[in-house]
Amino acid sequence: MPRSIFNARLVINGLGISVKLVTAVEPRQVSFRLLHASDRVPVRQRMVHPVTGEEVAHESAQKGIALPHGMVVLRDEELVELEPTASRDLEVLRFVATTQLDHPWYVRPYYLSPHDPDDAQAYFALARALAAESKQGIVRWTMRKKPYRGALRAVGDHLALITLRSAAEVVATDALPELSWPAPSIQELAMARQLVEMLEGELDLEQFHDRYAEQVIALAEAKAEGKTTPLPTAKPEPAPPPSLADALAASITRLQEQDVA
Amino acid sequence: MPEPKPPTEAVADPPTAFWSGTITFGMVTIPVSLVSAVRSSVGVSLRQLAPDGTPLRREYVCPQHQRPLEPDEIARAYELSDGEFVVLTDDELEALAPEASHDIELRQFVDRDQLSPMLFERPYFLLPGSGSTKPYRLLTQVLEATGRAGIATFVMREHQRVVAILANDQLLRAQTLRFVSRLRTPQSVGLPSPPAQVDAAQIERMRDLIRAHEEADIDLSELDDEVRVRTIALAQRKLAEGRDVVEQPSDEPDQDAEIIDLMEVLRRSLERPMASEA
Repeated sequence: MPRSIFNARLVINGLGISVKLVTAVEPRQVSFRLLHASDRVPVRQRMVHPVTGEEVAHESAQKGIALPHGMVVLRDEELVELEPTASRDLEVLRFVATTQLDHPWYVRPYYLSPHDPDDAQAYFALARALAAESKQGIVRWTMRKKPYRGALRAVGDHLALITLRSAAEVVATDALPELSWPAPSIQELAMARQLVEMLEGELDLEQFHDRYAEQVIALAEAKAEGKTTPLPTAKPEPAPPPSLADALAASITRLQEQDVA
Repeated sequence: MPEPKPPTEAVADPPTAFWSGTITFGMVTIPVSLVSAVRSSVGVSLRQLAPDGTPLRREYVCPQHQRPLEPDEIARAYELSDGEFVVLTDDELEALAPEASHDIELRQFVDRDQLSPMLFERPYFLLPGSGSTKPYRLLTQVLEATGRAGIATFVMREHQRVVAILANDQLLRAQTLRFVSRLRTPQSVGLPSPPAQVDAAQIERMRDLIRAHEEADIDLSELDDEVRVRTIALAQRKLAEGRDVVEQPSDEPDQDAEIIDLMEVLRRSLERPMASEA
């Protein structure tokens, strides 16, 4: 059973609903360790002075911030001063359409669980209301001494909170200049569109498994048993590319033939 | 009085393409390289400095030999369930999925709106490779016009990823998606089921509350990291006053050298049409 990581209060204009944050993501199946190749001992990371090579422990290291015109040391008492005020409130600032934030904003999903049975009605009513309005809430909160921003969304009957990147991390691309490259012809566009339509379907992500992770595990187990490992296969040389229009036409023909067969 | 300095942002690392390969769409191939769409900037994570102000260097050591290791002395290993380590070489890993490591094959297209943000892991920009500007532009235009995303899998940095290829603002993007098996469900984390009847009047009150606090647009200032903003402001104040400023040693690579913003990389790659157009 995944543990809840944070007890909190979802606050919308004075209305409070007590909730628990529960992480919605399982850890990765395969992780690698770095070893010293000759004795197979896991390596240790340390921070050293680049000139003397001496190790500097985390506690005795100073913290610095690199600006274009110099490196500035920030002292511990200054860093403590900058920490956000501790709070259990998930403050909903406003609601916007679920389509308002583009994909680069979203980071990590959490489920919210109603903490107090008395709040369960309000919790489920809010989930229904968000779904009916096609809205998400923009939420701010502090967790582990760090400020977070998130999107409060209905997921089925329940509420989820997905953390968001900060405005400084997301690149606004709408100011990019108009392209001056050769444009595809109307005929090429029409064929490409037809190709997309022929390949269109319902999203089915269940079909994707981490087959590669399974292969890595199988390879590691085979090597542990002393079995020989497969040699890298040579990659076939790619054929020279046909013209764009020819490639599109041939793709469409091939798909049509598959449909008939 | 001295001229006021233009506002200085923290130094951003130049984005580096760490994967390059081919998008195939039917028999159309588009050479691309992948760069992170997340702008990394100092101020989110602080540098560690020695007591004398010198930025520290990260080093790997062997606890057995008590000495720092060169990169070629380090092997990557997978840990079996019994705790035994098995060393896997780059060649062996590459051989597991030779095509998947270089090719994103778009075999399925879906409506972009079907992609739940719960699935979103990391966003990337796909920049056109040499000679690929026309097919790149073709795919971008079609995806933008139809609101569709191509779904594919590929292998990057020793992990298989499911990826949605979509287009916005003339750019192809790759958004990695979590495997469904890694996404917990409300049932698997033990969330309570809703009551048989959720009170209709209460739903109505919640809808009123949402409408009373809804806005057509996001206020991007609400998505600032205020601690980062205040941290940079404090550092700039101290820099201007000459308090706690340390010299950076000149042997530190790229720290003061060329500061390239991600936006600049995008602008350059879109402005300069590549040679050898087919």
